[in-house]
Amino acid sequence: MRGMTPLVCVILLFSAASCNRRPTDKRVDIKTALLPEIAADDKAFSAYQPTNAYAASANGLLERTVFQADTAPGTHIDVRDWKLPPGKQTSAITLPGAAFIEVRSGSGTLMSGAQTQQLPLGAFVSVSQDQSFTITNSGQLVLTMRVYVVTGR
Amino acid sequence: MLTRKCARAAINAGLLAGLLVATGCSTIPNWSQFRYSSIRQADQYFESELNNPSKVSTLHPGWSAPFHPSNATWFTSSPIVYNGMLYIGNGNGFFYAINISTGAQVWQYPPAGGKALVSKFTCNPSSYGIASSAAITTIGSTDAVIFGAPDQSSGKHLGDGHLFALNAASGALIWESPALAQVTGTTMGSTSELHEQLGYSAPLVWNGAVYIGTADHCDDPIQQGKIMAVDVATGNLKSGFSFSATPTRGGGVWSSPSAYDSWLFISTGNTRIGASPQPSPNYGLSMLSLDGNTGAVVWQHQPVPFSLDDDPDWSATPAVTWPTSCANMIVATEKDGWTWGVNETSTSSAASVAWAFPPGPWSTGGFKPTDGTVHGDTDYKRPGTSWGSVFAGTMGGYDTTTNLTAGYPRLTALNICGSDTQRVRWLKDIPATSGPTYDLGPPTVTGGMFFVGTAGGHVVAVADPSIQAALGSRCEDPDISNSLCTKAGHRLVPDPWIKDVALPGGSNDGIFGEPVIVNGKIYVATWAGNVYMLQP
Repeated sequence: MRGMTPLVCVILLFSAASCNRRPTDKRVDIKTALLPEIAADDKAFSAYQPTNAYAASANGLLERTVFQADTAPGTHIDVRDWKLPPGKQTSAITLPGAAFIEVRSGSGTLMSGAQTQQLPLGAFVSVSQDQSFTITNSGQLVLTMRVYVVTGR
Repeated sequence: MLTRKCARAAINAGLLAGLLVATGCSTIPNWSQFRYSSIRQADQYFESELNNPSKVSTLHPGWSAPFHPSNATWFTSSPIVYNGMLYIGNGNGFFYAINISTGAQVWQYPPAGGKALVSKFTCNPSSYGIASSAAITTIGSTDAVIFGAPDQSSGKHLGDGHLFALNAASGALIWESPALAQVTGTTMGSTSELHEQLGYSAPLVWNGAVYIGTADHCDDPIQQGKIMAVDVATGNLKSGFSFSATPTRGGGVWSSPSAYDSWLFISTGNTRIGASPQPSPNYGLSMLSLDGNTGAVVWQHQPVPFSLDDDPDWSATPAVTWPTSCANMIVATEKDGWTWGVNETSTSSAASVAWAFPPGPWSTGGFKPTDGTVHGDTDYKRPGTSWGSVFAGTMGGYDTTTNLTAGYPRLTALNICGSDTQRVRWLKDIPATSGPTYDLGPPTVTGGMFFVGTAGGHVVAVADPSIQAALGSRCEDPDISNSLCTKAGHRLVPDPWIKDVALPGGSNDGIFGEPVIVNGKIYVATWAGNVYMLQP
């Protein structure tokens, strides 16, 4: 069988192993090539809508609130998710309270004044109330962060 | 001498021929074991009306009434269909054969008046009666049906797990294996008793042996996970085969073994419990390839290290993807929501990972204690279906790290052979799901038409866009609105056409197992103890 291609082997061996088949026994075609890519500007959307969708913020982030509560007397906690696409940088961000930023996927950099802090996957960094900072996504994946903002009332 | 390529092709041809024989090419297409065949693709290869969306849109219950045995509890096992008969075990401890033309019972085992195959250790639906789906084989010249079940006739008489082989035509017992899973007491949490069970693991008949996994009753406490093998002709333990996931506790095999070539593929459960040290070796929380003759580990993929083990059992049965436009892979979703594609021909003891979904640095080195990922007792437990180069199932998706449980009611189809950026083929949020867990059963497919049962008592058909135009586009990240999708760095993907069929039993009659596809009809079993046939 030297020189015989795998396809020929399959045909020969399959023929030997096959049997008389009724019309209902016909094998279904497998059409699993990649589907054509949908254009980025496509507007033929389906009816699907997320239950808690992100919204675009002026600072360049996509943002949503996932939890809000008044906690200890005089404090309020606000849990948000942020997303930043690959290669993008936010404009200046300030938060109304002290915050922790946790990187849930992707990686990036946080810059505040002259200071630069890496944001690898799993990072958990703090920023102060009214501290101005920017975030850059320098990775290949969408940078997803969970942000816990604690404010006084 | 065969060249390597030709030998490989011969294996594929043999597999195809085997599938044809196993699925009954001499009569009509069958569904002769859990997930259709030994490679557990859940892909009905034979053409039928169910490949035609216009026919699928007319699906409705067939038989005049569902099959509902007396004293039925839930069906957590899935039906199998072979040569005009449907076989399934119930939580009441009886195994049934049903005429698929009429829905009428042909026989039951044990026969009327016999002692039910139930356990005295009862803590979840896998514990009570028969949760193991069956498999068809031939013993001598007799068609036989094999399943796992508890039996109080052995050991401490509490319900050790045994395999049973019955004459498929008459229900007569051909053999009963020795106890493969032992119960030596019923004290929850006891570490001095054995609390083993066969549970949901379905037998695999392969190369003259029957393989099945052992796990535990409710992790109370976790037991030593094993693959047990018996001789298909006699039911006696297979000589020379042994596999334990750990030398002590953990690594339960909740899933059903799959096979390709000479290799078995299994997934295993957690090993970390309390302050116990990591067992060595630790084959828990892993996808594994085993030598089918000896049980020796060929390769292991353990993405979640012991230190992050918060009980993300790998309990979905691995699917062997074949034929694909790339290399064969073993694909399954772990309970934490991540889906993994591992090269079937990994040659070193560490598996060769092809991809992870969602993608990330874990794709190459697994998860790290510093990466912030969470791996707990969530419910991505169902096997997916593999159709050519497409794998579809319930999984975490792009929102795994921020909205972990949101994927329960969703089917996601992945391009097995695409790049990470091409991974998602389509997404579908399935209607008529309910409850916090087990929203969807394991999907099945035929010719690009996917079927899935829901906890709300519906059977839903989803058409791959290659056979039926989609309803429009949606974002591949389900938490991002369609209009913001590409600005967020994601792709728009098709939102497929569906047909939603409500079963007459309503939302109290949910579906746990797989929709079985045979000769243009669908067979499903339900929580309320009904078996339905649907037809165009």
